[in-house]
Amino acid sequence: MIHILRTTLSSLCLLLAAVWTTTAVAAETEDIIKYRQGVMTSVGGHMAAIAQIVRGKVDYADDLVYHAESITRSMQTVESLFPKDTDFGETRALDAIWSQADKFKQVSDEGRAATSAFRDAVKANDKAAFAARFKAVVDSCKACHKDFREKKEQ
Amino acid sequence: MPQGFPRKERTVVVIRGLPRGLILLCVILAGAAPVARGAALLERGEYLVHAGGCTNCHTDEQGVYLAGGRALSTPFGIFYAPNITPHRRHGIGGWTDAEFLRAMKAGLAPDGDNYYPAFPYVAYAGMRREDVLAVKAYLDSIPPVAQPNRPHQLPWYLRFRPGLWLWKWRYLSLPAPGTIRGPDPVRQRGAYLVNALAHCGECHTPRDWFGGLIDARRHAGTVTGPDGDVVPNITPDRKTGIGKWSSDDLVYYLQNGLTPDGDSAGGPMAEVIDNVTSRLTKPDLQAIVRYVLSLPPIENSLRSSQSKTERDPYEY
Repeated sequence: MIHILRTTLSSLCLLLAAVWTTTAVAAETEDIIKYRQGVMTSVGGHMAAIAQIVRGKVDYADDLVYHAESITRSMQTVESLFPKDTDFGETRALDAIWSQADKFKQVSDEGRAATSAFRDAVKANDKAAFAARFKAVVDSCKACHKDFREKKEQ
Repeated sequence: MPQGFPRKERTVVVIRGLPRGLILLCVILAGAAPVARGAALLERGEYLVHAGGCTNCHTDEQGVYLAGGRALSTPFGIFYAPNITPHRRHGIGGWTDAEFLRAMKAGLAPDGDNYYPAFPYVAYAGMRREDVLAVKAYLDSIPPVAQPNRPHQLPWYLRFRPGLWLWKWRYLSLPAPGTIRGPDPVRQRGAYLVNALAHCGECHTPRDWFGGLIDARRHAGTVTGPDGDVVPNITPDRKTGIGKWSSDDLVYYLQNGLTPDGDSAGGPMAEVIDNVTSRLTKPDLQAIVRYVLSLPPIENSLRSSQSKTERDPYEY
């Protein structure tokens, strides 16, 4: 009798624990994905704003340092947005991020270098270098999105 | 006035000399295009190789320039782009002008075999003869690479190449793509670049059961593009196409890969921007944009029905 009670109770507890941990982990993954998308969206917003200024469409040159600092800061820790196995759920992150970790690290480094160089040019008000360095930033976005982001559904 | 002509005479000389100079300039300009030789011909050929998207498929990701090897997954099988360096055994070394023209415009190998239309000869059929020959001159000038070609992976029923005669009879037809009517030379140049060279429609147009482009849906996008990708609608429909983009934004996108909302191109279009459009001159990009924005808008949403329609525009 005691034996039956013990097995039933322990199974129940183990089952509950398993359910609790999986849902907890799943929730955490989803939250990371949401955060990641928030960061990426903000970078996109800064990029759109910078493009308008650099292309000479608008005259908000005073804001350029703020935009450049923001994207540079986000790129500093960009890999941390992609903890292992966060390619499940509502995300376009591809498994290649983890299966080709070296290459992912390399494009992340490029992103860091390109954004820092652009920010330095902005801070030094080196207008001659703006266009080329901004293009390098866009190239680094493109290089990563080419191999590590699922093609967009329109 | 110790030297030169008296004032009056000098003016006369300038005026007399002007038309002569203009005529000479016109002769040089007119002559330059069709009979470019030497360095100018090679330069033009190289530009056309990029405009025609040759490097995009014929150079593998880490591979040697134009030595082939890149895989193209399609619903019909996997095609491997061949070596087009002038290597005599593995490439296209030793081909005559006539053989090269026949390959590019009729999809025929020197031995008479049909090429599969993964090689976009349906588009290249619209290329001007002198442009094809400039491409050949350039390809003959690059270093030959001894890289053997990989055979395509196709189901048994598609391995019978003479069957392609029927396909060609249906789809390789006149009028040649890239030539449009109308008074606007810029738009004409755009049509030539889009349809005969860069062959945008080969990915951006849905295909029928036999792999031919559905002409009525040209450039309207497809959910079954190469490598199973969704390829966007690039007709100027305001809701589902690119009708809301300004010409300037489109030129900028083709140069850099940044969309007006700050997103960057990814996937295959990132490669096309790197290998093809970013290498074109600004006037050529403006011509492409003028032409594309003049296309009839086609409403074609590419969201799959089960996908969430309330999607955020950015998903990473």
